[in-house]
Amino acid sequence: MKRPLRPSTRRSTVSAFLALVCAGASSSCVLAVHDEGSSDFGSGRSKSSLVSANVKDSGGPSGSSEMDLELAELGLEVARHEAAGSRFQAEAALELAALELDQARQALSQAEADGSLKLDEAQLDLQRATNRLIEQKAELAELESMYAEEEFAQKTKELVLTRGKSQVAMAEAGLMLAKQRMKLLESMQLPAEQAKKSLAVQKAELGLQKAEAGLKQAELKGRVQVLQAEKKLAETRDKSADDGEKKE
Amino acid sequence: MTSGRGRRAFLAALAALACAAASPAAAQDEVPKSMTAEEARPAMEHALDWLLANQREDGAWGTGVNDVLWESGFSVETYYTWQVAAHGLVCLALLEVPETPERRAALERGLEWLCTAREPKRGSDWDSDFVWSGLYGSVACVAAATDPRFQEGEWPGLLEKAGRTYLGILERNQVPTGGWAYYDDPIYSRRPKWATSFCTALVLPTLQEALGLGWLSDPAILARATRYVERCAVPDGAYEYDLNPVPRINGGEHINRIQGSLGRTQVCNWGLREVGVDKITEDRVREGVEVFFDEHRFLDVARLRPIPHEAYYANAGYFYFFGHYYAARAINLLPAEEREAFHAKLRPHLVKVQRRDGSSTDFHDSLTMKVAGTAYLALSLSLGMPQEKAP
Repeated sequence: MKRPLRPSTRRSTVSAFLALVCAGASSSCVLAVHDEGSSDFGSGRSKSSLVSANVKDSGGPSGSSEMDLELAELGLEVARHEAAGSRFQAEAALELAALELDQARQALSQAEADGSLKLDEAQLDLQRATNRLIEQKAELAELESMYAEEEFAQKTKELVLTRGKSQVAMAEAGLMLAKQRMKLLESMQLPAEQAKKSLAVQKAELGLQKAEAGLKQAELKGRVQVLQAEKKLAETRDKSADDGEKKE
Repeated sequence: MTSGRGRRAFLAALAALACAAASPAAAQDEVPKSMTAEEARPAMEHALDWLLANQREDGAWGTGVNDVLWESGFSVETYYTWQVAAHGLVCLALLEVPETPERRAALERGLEWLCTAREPKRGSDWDSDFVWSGLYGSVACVAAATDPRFQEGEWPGLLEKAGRTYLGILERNQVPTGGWAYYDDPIYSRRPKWATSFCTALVLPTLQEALGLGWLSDPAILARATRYVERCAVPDGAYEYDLNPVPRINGGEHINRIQGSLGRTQVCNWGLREVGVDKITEDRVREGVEVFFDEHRFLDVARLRPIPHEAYYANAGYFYFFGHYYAARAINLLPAEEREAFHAKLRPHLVKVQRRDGSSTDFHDSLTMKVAGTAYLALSLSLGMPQEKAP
């Protein structure tokens, strides 16, 4: 299981990403962002006015070459930012996937323990219902035996016996229900509940694998983007140097 | 208006007073462990004075209406039926105690009211409290009918008529298992189905005497009632509150344990022994009386609690006087030489609960409860007085 990032690491990652987002939001186009050679986040300064002036002032071949160079430098910077942003997002997704897996596993474990408790409770209810029936039958038998001793108050006795008989009938029905409840719990409810939780764990495991792959993909793509931008910058510098020599 | 400091001082004094009053140690200091008959006599006289002073012009004691909020909720008839029962207890007390002209006059007026009062009726489907009037109405009438002072003139006829009326309530309401009580439960029926050991036991000797007087013709009534009380007996000396086909006692505090049976054990032992049940030996009676004193704190702590059965072992406030009266009766079943020691222990528990005006109650402060409580108090003390019953 992937351990969550340490709070300090998480904070620095988040602040870097926020700086990136803020920088993007504050410019009208990507060209408006400039960083003076630093590859670290957070030190970027907006030079949009300067860049705009340069674009406006550029006229001849020399100006065009300088602009290409600057664009290539900016392109490299953007590629680095994008690579870092993608990596951050992939790392965050991985962290979330790990947490979700953790939660799903806990829920499964809890469901297993809870299921065992529910089963014990149902077993107790069943025992209680069984005892109640035994007691009600015994009480009725005792009452009948007491009443049988002499012929007295027959109508009232009949009322009491009717009440006793319905108590036995209720106890029988209660026992039947307790048995059904136990069976339902054992054969359907608890297995279904556990299957649901197991499925959630499986989903979370897949989610984690996907996030891990996403992180690898983001790293590779970022590396490609940065390499391409570096290559382009190198080519532009070479071209700019050639142009300078020709001019001389 | 008093100043803040003055109010605080007043409240502090009040709190100190309340603490002192509530202190069990202080209360125990005031109650002696034993008391002679002569020391207790003023309390008995005072109780009787209160009863005489509170007899109504028509000869009745108590009131037939609800006069405390705590007792709301019963059927309208029930307050009257309680009055009849409490009135019967005062008559019993006056029959028992040494006679004076004032007491004799009060007794005659009281018996006349008992004999001419409207026959109590069942108040509602569940509330059959009128059985109480059947019980103590019968006991009082039979006691008067067997008293030499009431063998002449109109008395025998009056007492027989009333006695048959009160006994008729019992005949019609004896539950199938043989006992009596004061509620019914669904399915409601003309003849109730629920009984208690103590209600049944208190009337056993009276039923026997009523059979002797010819007021009852069917001896099976007594046999069934006796069997009911016998069946309520629990091996440890307790009696079940009510008879269950299978006795109900759980492992913890339960009314059917000995500590919850203190108010019932005495009346059941006394009632059964009086009608000749061999199992209730002197030893058994003695054990019951001894446990009454050993566990007496459970009755003390329950007394005056306004909610029925709210004390330990579901003891209720109104078990107090009932228990003490039948403890006095049970003591008098023991050999003569043993009685005084037990009465001496019993008296302080009666005297300590008497109010300054001579009355007492163990439950609510309704007039009927005060009448019943004061009558029980006088009766219980009189049973421990040496050879004083009027000729």
